[in-house]
Amino acid sequence: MWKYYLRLSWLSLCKTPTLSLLMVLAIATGIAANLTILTMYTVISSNPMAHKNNEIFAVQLDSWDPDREYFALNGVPPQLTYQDAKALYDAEIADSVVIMRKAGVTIQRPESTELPAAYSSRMTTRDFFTMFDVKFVYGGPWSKNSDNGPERVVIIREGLSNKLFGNENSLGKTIFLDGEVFTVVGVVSEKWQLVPNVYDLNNNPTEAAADVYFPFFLVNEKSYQNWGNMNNWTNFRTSNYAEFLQSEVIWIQAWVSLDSPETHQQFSRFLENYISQQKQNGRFQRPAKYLLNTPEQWLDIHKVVSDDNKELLILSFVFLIVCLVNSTVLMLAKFLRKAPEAGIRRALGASRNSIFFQHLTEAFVVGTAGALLGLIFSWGGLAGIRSLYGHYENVATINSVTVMGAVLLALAATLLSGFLPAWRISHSAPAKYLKTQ
Amino acid sequence: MLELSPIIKSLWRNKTGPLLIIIQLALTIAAISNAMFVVSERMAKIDRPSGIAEQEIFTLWMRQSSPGIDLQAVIERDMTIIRSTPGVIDATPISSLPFSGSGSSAGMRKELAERAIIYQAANYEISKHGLNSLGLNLIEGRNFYDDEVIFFERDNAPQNSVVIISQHLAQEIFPDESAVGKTLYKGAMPLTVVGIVEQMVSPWSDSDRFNHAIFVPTIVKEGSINYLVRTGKDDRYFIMNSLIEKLRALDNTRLVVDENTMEKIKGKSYADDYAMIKILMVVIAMLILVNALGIFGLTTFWVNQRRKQIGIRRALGSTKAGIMRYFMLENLVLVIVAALLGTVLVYLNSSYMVRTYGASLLPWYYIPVTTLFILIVTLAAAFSPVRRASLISPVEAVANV
Repeated sequence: MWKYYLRLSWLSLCKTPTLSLLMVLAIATGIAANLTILTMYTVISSNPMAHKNNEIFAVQLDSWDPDREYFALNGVPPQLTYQDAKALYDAEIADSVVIMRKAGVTIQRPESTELPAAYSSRMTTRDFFTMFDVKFVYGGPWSKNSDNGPERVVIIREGLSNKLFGNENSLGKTIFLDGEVFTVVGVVSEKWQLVPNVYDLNNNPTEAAADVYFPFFLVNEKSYQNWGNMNNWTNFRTSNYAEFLQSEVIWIQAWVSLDSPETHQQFSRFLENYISQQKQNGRFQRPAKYLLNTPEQWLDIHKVVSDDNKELLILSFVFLIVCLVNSTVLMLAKFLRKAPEAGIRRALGASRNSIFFQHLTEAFVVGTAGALLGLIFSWGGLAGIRSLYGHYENVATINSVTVMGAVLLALAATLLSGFLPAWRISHSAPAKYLKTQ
Repeated sequence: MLELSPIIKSLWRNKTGPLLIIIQLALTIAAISNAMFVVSERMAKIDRPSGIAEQEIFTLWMRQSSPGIDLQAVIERDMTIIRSTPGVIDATPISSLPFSGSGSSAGMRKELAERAIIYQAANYEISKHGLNSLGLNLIEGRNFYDDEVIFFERDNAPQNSVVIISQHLAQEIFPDESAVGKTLYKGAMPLTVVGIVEQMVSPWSDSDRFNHAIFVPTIVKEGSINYLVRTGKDDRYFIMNSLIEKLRALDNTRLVVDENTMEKIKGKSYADDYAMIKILMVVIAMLILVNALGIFGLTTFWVNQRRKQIGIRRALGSTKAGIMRYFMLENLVLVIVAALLGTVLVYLNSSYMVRTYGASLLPWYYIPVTTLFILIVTLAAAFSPVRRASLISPVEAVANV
C-alpha cells in the first residue's frame, strides 16, 4: 500500500511541477535557515566541560573596591590578584589547582635567521592539561617540579610544531621564547579545542586555543607581555614589578577541582578563613564573598550566549513557521482541487483513512525533499556564517545536531504542513463531487 | 468598494486557507519590521562619528625585545624617518588604538578622596603629534608642549602631568564650567587639563562610555608600541608597505607587524554588528521571496479553481478590470487583517525584549511601512495570475468543464 501511495504522490507532484517545486523550496529555505542558526546556537550554548560540571570550579574572590562592587558580570571580579592566586595554590587543599593568564611571546627557532613572530600563549600550572582534557600528540603535561622550579619547559600546539620543525616529533627540541631557551615537553593536538573556551571567558569565547603553554610561576622572573585583562581599583601606584605582583590588580584566572563533598567543604572553609585573615591585614574590605562556579554557571555569568544569538534563534523559528504555513497553504489549495478525484475513490470504497494516508504520503515526499535540500542549503548558510563572523570557524560547522535537526524538522514539516490538508480532503463529502461530474 | 462584502463572505466560507495566509503574512510583517528595526539600530551604531581621520590613518605594531635598548631613542629615530617620508602628514607613538578592542581604561576623579566619583575613560598615551596624526579637532585649550612629553620606565613613573580630554568626558565631569585648567586625578596622579577635543572614541565599540577618552603625554618604555601614521588617502597603502620594509631593515631583531588601516580595525570592531545586519537582510529577502512565491502559487490555484465563477461573472457583464479589482481587493483584505495581527505580535515581542534585554521599544511607523511594502509585494506577486483570470472568456461559463 505504502509503495502505491508513493507512486500516486509522485504522479500527483509531477502533474503540478511548479507548485511542487514551490512547496519543496519553501520547506527547504525554512529548514536551511533554521538549521544554520540552530547549529550556531547549540554550539555556542553548549558546555564542553559538562562531564565535569560538579568537579571543577572557577574561583571568584571579592577583593574589589570597598566603595563599589565590581563593574561587570555578577558584581564579583572574575580574576584574582597574584597574592590570592598564589595562596590558593600553596594551600594544597583542592585536588588540583590551575592558575593561569594569557600572555604574548615571541618565538624563534635556535640557529634560525628568520625573524621572531608573536604568539598567543598561556602561562599555567600543570593541572590545566588534565583538568581540561587537553589531547597530546606527543609528550604530556610537565612535572610538578617544572611548576615549582619553575623550569623553562614549553608545550606547543601541533600547528606551531609543524611550522617550526616540519612534521616530525619535536619533543626535546628547543625554541627561543622571548629570547630565552625553552625545551619542548609536549605537543597539543589541533583537534583539542573547547568551544566555548570555558577556562578563559575574558576574551573572545570562541577564539582558537593558545599556540604555546609554559609554567605560570615564570611570572616571578619577568613581566611577560600581557594579552589578557588586567583591572585595578586602587589609587596606589606600583613603581616596580615586585610591587605589581603584590598589588590589588586582578589578572589571574583560577580553577580548582574538588572531587568529593568533603574536599568541597574543606576548601570553602579555607577560603572563609583566608578572607577573614586578609581582612585583618586590611584587605577584602567588602562583605566577605567568594564563589565556586561550575563550568555551566561560569558560561552563564559571562553571557556567552549573546542577545544576538537568542534573537536570531527566535527569528529562525518564525521564519520556519512562515515557510511551513506557506507550504501548507499551497498543499491545501492543491489537495482541494483534487477533491473530485478523492471523491470518486471514496465512492468506489476507499476508506477515509486510506485517503488521509495517501495525501500524508504526498506531504511526506515534499517534506523529505525539502529537508534534504534544506540540509544542502544550510551547508552554504554555515559557510556564510563563518565568513561573516571571523571568530566562528569552530562554531559554524555541520555536526550531529544539524543532521538530527534536519531529520526531525523534516518529520515536523511533513506533519505540520501536510496534516491539515490531508485531513480536510479525507473529510470532504464524496457526494458533492460525484454530482458535478 | 461594493465588492468588499462578497469578498469577506467568500473568504469566511473557506476559512482554513485565508486564515493560514493571514497567519503567514502576520508573522512576516512582525518579523520584517522587527528585523528592520534591529538593522537600523546597528547601522546607526556603526555610523557614530569617531572624530578621527579614519580614511587617512594606518598603524603598525613595533616590538623591540633585545635587552639594553633605549626604546625612547628607537621610537624617536623611527618617528623622524616616518615623518620625513613624502606623503606622510604626521605620525605618533600611541599606547592603544581606537576601535581595536584592546587598551587601557582609567578611572578619573575630581578629588583625591577615596569616595570621590570615578569617571571611567579610555586612556591613550601619545606624543604631541598625536592630535594631528589622529586628525582630531581641538575645540578648547592647547596641544601638549614639547617638554611635557615624557618617556618613562615603569619603575620611575612621573608624579604629575597634563591631559587632553574628550568633550563628552569634559561635559560629564564639569557640566557647568570649562574643564581647561582644572585638575583631575588618575589614580593618585594629578593631571592638569590643558585641552579638549571635540570627539574621540575608546577602543571598545560596545562600551557605553564609547566617547569618553583622555590623552596623556607620558609614554611607558616597555617592549612594544603602536605607531599611528596619517597620510593622504590615495597613497596610504603604498606608504604603509614601503615604511614597513624601511623600519624592518633598520634592525632585523625586532618585530614590525600588524599593519592595518583604521577602516580595517573599525570593521573588525563592528564585525558582529555587520554579521547581524547581513544575516537579517538575508532573512528579510528570503521572507519576501517565500511570501511572494506563495501568493503567486496560491492565487494561480484560486483562479483556476474559480474559472467557472469568473466566466459567469464575465457573462453577466463584469469587466476585466472588475475581475482584477475583485482579486486585488481580496489580497488587500488579507494583508490588512494580517497587519493588525502582526502589530499585536510585534508589540508582544518588543515589550518582552524591552523587559528582558533592555532593548528599546520598536517605533510604531515600522509596522505601517512594512505592511505597505508587503502589500506591494503580494499585489505584484498576484498580478500575473489575476491578469490571466481577467482574460477568462465568458464562454467558459457555459462550456462543460
